[in-house]
Amino acid sequence: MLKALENISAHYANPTRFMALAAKLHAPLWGLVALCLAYGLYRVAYVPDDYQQGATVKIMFVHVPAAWMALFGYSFIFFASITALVFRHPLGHVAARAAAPVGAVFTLIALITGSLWGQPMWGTWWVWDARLTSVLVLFFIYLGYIALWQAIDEPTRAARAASILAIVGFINVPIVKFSVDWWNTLHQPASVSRLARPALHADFLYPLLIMGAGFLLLFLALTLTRMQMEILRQKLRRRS
Amino acid sequence: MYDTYIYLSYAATFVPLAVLIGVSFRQLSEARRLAQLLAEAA
Repeated sequence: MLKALENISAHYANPTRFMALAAKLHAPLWGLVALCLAYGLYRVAYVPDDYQQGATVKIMFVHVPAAWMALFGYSFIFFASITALVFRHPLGHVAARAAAPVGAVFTLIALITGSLWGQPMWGTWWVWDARLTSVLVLFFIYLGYIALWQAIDEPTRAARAASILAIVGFINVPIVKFSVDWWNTLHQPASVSRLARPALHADFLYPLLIMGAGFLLLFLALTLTRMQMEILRQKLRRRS
Repeated sequence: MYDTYIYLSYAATFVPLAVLIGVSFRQLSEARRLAQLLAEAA
């Protein structure tokens, strides 16, 4: 299994081969994104009101998947940076840089939709509890990572500095995830990740998982599109 | 009663995503155009 992954990784280390694969995947992936999100939104439209949250439970179907993608996006950048820095994979930096704006937008969405849910449910737009604050810190790390790439003109130095920031900043990911367990927070603990017995009724769980799959596909499609753009830009920089 | 919050949440989700999709496709087509121009010039 590991050997097969290693072979695939080595095969697509060649940007030309990767571009050929990306061109094949582009249209089907975006088609899947549209189908999955359309079906997810259709299911969300028929979700019943929650006995405590009322109709505001519908906000959860964008807030929770956006928060998942905020963490997934940063983990993706972390592993891509490790791949680039330790294993010298030529596409590691490309993948990490391409995913950063995507992850940052999902983090911003999680923050705004959380605030829009908090006002009617908690009676406040914002509290400085551990979960909310650590997600805000994650958003600033994303911004710092993007800014660092742009601040250094020499691409090799920029890539190295950004990768180090991405690896150091990963410490915040487990803090976000476990903040609701480690500290007393207003934010509720995990409801879905308890795989044995999720705290959600099937009426809420399945539409949430479909929206989660749609957001994951969207993350991958956007990252793939931006990777193609980054590879072309690299080629242009080398030739000019 | 909560409709405004729900509509605002969906707008706050899909408007930034639509902008990001639009910007990413525009940047990709611009990079493709420049790469093609450079290839033709070479």
